[in-house]
Parts: sequence; structure tokens; C-alpha cells
Amino acid sequence: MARYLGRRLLQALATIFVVVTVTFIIGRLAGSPSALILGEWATPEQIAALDVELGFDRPYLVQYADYLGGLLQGDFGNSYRDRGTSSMAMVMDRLPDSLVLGAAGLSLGLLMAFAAVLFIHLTRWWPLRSVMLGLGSMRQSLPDFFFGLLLVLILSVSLGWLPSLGSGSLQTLIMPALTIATGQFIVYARLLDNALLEQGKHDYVRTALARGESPRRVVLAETLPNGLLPVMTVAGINLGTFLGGLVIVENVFAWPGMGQLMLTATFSRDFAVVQSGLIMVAVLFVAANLLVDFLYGIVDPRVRMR
Amino acid sequence: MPQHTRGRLTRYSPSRLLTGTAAAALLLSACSDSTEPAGDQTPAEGGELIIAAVAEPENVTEPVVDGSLAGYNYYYNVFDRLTMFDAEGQMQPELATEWEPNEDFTEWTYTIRDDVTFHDGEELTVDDVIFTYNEVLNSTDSSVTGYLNVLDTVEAGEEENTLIFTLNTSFSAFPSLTTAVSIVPEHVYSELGSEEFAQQPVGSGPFQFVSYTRGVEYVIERNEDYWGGAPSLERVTFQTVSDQDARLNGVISGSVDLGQISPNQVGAVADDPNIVIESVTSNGVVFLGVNTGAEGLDDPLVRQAIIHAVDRESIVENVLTGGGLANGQIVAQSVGGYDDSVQLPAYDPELAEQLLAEADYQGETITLEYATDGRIPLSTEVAQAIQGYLTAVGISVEMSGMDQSTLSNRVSATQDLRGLFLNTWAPSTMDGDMPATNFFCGGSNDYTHDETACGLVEAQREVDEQERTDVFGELAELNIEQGFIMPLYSPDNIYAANPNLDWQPRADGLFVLKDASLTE
Repeated sequence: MARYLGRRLLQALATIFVVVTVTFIIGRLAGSPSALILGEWATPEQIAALDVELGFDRPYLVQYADYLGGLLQGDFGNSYRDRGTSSMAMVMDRLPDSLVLGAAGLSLGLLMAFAAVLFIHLTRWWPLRSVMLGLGSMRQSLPDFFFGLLLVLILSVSLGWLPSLGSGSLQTLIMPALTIATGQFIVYARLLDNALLEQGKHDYVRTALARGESPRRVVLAETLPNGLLPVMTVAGINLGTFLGGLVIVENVFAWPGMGQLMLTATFSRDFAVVQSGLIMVAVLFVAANLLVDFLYGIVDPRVRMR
Repeated sequence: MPQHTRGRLTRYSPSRLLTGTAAAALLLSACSDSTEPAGDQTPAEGGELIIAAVAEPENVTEPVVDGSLAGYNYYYNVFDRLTMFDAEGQMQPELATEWEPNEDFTEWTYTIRDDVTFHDGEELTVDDVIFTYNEVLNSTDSSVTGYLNVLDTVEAGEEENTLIFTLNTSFSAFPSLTTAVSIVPEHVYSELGSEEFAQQPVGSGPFQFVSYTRGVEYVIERNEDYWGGAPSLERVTFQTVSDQDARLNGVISGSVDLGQISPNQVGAVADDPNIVIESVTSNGVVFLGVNTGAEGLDDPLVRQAIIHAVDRESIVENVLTGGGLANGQIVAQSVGGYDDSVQLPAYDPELAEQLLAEADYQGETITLEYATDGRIPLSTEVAQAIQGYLTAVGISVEMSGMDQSTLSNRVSATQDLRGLFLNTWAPSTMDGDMPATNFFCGGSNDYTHDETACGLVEAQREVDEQERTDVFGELAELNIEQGFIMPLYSPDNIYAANPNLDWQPRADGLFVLKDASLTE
């Protein structure tokens, strides 16, 4: 167990190192932020002076070594825009909002998927299955920003039920969370549906039924636990796309999460913030996959962590 | 405001599946303590205004260091300046009661009010003004410093409440620059320093600071003791909403009261009773910058041809659906230096073809660089229209779209651009001196280094009023003749607003709210 954890930790650090290095290189290729910070009135001398202040006049390798050195001491560098604020502090400021939205959207999506699929498989009301998959596919064919705008048009503009943007109350959470949830819903509904159908063909199901177990019990006690495994695997992999989608949804609803922060930071070449944000995303990604591995072990005792 | 009718949601649901979704949504909304959209909380006397702002300052958010447009939205309401422009672009006194130049405009004496206090109760004095200007002048990372390139020193005058600005050159429009510097209290700023002052700014303006959450909102409230009379609005929130559809939907649904929108959004909502659309010609000019050293563009005849090949009025009419004014000068109609007597360059494709033949243009590819997002609304469509016009007269155009920051960085590096580039310039000082200097006297858009043009820029600083406008007119005609910078149009600032809001849109696109009010 300890060896397993150690190995995963090393993998995680390697992943983060790669992320940091790649973003550093891409960031430096995009040039210095000084001209953007100072605006169009600035003279070349002023721009050069700010370059020196921010350390952009030094050779890239020195800047990189300096940055890595800082990371090792827990110093993620200050934002270039808000020069008194640590870039990681800015990210941590926004993290809770993203987590709330992400968790609300994902759990609502999962809840809907499980509820719908289980309802269908327990009642064996197959026409509903086609309806569910059809609607889900329709939702999936709409990009998140478009679906979000549709929700706004219906729920805010036409009906006036919900604020169209903002944060800080449960009402403002509903539409962004629904946008994410409906997007995630079909991914998991399809997976779980497939898994249950697949498991249903196995011999152990026939045996169980022959033993006189009720079809409902077979689904809940036999096929569902087995069907969970592929769902969980994909959940871990899916997290990357999920985090990407979060950026779009935050933008449509002016939700002040990490995605918005990273977007504006990218546009204004605030690399320190972009890098810290990506480190955080990498940490989240690695942690979520680790969690999936653990859950895997719990759901399926055959999987031992080595 | 439509009522919150919960029961109806289920009726609209197309299937049981969606019923589940809706039920979950209702569950969430039932948990919430208020059922009204955020925009309508606490209808207090004077009212609360929520503005959907396009962006946030890209800098430490206090007025000594930050001169961004996004920042001026805050500072224009929380701080005072010596002089200020009203919504029409007319110069008005603010902290200064009068200002007087010496004979050659190299020295300016300002007299300031003696009845102004900061929000912490301390008196605003000449020393605070001098302190602020010196902080700006001495800063290495301030984007305000660029406004003060003509300023040498500022010191107290002999008479009480006066101060003297000494310039390093003649400058007849100097009072336009004192609109750019918001006065901070020395006793607070010198103690806290820039970054901490940004967390708890103290000004003397009609509103005082309440809170700032980066990425979310900047909140200010009425200053009851404002020397110019307390404003009507109780509270103003600048909420950052970078997406233009989100801004428009926000106003329609009542989540916000006011937001800037794009010309192509107007048509769909023009008849909506929940909003009013307001617009005003901006202080900006969208132009084609020219690297006059690039192949093909090094010939003045080819540049001439390009000027006459583009139908400015049609671009405004068809691409911007009328949201602007065609313009052949480097400054907008509302900006100091615009000369009414200068004609818009004619749209004459035949002349353009003739000029190209004369120039012996052999079909060299000319690159047009533009930003696909950002400062120019519909920039991609405008760039495509230009490509169409140029192709029609036989010029081969290669389009190169990029993000706004990349383009801005390339523009500020000057020698980097490959040919034509679509750019814009909007002087918050409402005066043509800064764009003219930038275009013709070695600024980032100046590829030509033409001595005559730069000579005219210097000449306008030494004369005043009509004489000055005449010099700008001469410069405008020289520019068209040579094709250094190719002005296209002045875009409108367009807003969607709550119909109950009484306010005036400004040419500079900023929100100055001391005279705004909300009615029920």
C-alpha cells in the first residue's frame, strides 16, 4: 500500500513537472506582458524598465531555474497584474467557486444518470430508454455555451425565474450546474446503461434468476456493482474534459471560478497565474484519479493495489 | 418583473426525465432564501445599480499605477481629478476652479477648491495633488505615466491653493491630461503603498469604496458629503461580465441594469420592452495601420489606392448596421483636433485601379493582421470586408487573425507587423495629441518617421483653439495623401439599459454615475 502510494505520488510529481515546464515554455514564447500592463501610451523605455522589474530581461534558463527554485520552496510567484498578490493565492481564491460548481454539476449529472438508468432497468420500460438516449444525444450535440444561453433565454429572459448570471446564491448556481449536469448526464447514462445490458448477458445473471431471485434484486445486487467498474474508469479519464468544459460554463454565466481567472490571465499574459492554475488543475486531476483507484479497490475486491 | 410561478415548470417538461431535472432545480431554488433575481434586492431609496463591466483592470487596481479603461470606470466615481470631461466631451472644472497657461503654454497654474475632503474626513490640499503627480511621474510600472510625458515638475504656487505644472515642451491642450490623474490622499497612500491602497482605496469622489473581489465585482456607495452634492444612487456594483451575450441577457432578465453590447446584438432586441438601447459615437477611431516598409506598401501610390478602394460608409452601414460614423481623420468627431473642413476620402475603386496601374503593382501579397476578439467589435467581419474591397481592385490580401493580446504586443513592438493591421485608438483625454504623437512622432504605430508630419504634431502644441484645429486639419490631409495611417470609422458605444435608469452614455465609453438615477 505504501509502495503503491509512493509510486503514485512520484507519477503525480512527474506529471506536474511536465505541466509546469510546458506552460513555462509556451508562456515565454508568447512574449513579455509588460507592454500589455503599461498600455498603449507607454514608451519603449518604460516597457524595458518593467521587463527588468519582472525579471523578463534575464535568459530563459535563468528564469526557469529561478521559477523551479521558487516552486520547491512553495513560492509560486506573484501575479504580474496584481504584483503584491501570490499567483497561487489568487487561484486558491477562485478554487472554491469552481469546486462548488463542478461538484454540483457532476453530482447532479451522476444522480440523474443513475436515477434514469436504474428506473429504466428496474421497470424494464424500454421505450423510455430510447427517449432518454435520444434527448441525451440532442443535449450532447449542443456545445455547452449554446445550451447555457438557451437556458438563460428560457429561464431568465422569457420566464424571469432565475438571475442570468452572477454568483453567491443557490439561484445563480442552478443554470450553470444544470448546463454541466445535462452534459455529464448522457456520458454516464450511456455508460451505465451499456454496462448493465452487458452484465445482463452473463451466466451469473441467468443462474441468479434460475435461483429465483427477483429481476430487481439481480440488477441492484448483481449487475450494478459489476457495471460500476467501467463507469468509474471513464469518470477518471473524463475529468479532464470536464474541467475544460467548466471554463466555458463559467464564462457564459460570469461565474467567478478558476476557469475565468485562467482565461483572463492567459489573455493578459499573466503567466504566473496561468502556471499556478495549471498546477492546481494537474493536482486535482491526479487526486481524482487516485480516488477512482481507491474506489475501484472497494467496489471490486479482486483489484489489489500494488 | 414576471412572477416566479413554480408549478408551471413541470407542465413544460417534455418527458419524465426532464421532470427529474426540473425537480432538482426546484429543490435547489427552494433552498435559496430569496426568490427574486439578484438585481432586485433591497429596493432602497436612491437604488442600487448593477453594471456589467466588460473587463477588469489588468493591473494593481488603484489610480496611480493603473490607467486602464476598465480601471477608470472605478476611479472616475471614487476619486476626483483637477479637470474632467463631461459626457459630450467638453472640458469641465473638477478639483480645479481655474487654470491659466503662460504665453508659450510651457507653464500652467491651477487653482484648486478649498472645500474638498477625502472619504476619511481629511482635507484635500495642494500637497495631495503634488504628491499624486509625483507618484505617477516616479513610478516604473504605472500605465498613467504615459499620459504625462510632457510634464517636468509640479510644485506649489505662491498663492494659496495654487500649483504650477512646468512642462518640457509647449502644450496648449495640457488640461486634457489632468483629466487622467485621479488625486489620492498623501497621508493614506504614502503609508499603505500601492498594493495595500488598492485593497482599501480612499478618494474624494461622489462614491466611496466598499469592496473589490477580483473577477467578481467592485462595489461603491454614495458619499453623502460629496462637495458637488451627494449622488442619487445609493450603491453601484461593477460586475465583471466578459461575455457580450451574457451582458445583454443580464440586462433583459433584470440581473444587471446596464451593459455595453455589440452592434450585431441590437437588431434582435430593439423592440424588447424590458430594455432600452442607447448609443453615442465613441472617442475612438478604427484604422488600418500600415508598415510602410513592407513590400508593396512601400509605394505611396499603392497606399493611396488602398485608401480609395475601401468604402467606409458602407462598412459602417452594412457591417456595423449603422453603429458608427465613417471617418477619414485620426481622431473621432468628439475629440480635440477633429477638423470639420477635411473631406472624407472618396470611395473610388476606379481611381484605385488606376493608381495601382501607375504604381506598377505586380500582385505582391499584402498581409492584413487583425484581432479576432477584443477591442474592436466585429473585427473579423470588418477585416473581411476590407479584404473584399482590396481584392476587388486587384490587390492580393492574405488574412492573419490572432488574439487581441498577441496583436497588441506585436503593435507595441512596432517593427514587427507584416503589412496592414486593423487597430483602434481611443484617447481618454479626448484630445488628438496622443494619437498624433503615436502615429507620426515615433510611437508604436509609426512606421514612417515622416518629418513633416511630426513637425505638424509638434506645431499643434504651440497654438490654441481654431489655429490648433487647422494644424490638425493639415495633418489629416497630409496623412490621407501619403497613406501613413488609414482611418476607417468611429464606432458607436452601444448599451442595453434598464428603462428605469436615467443616465448619459459617454463618448469615452466610461460610466460616470454621480448624476445617474433609478426610478421605480
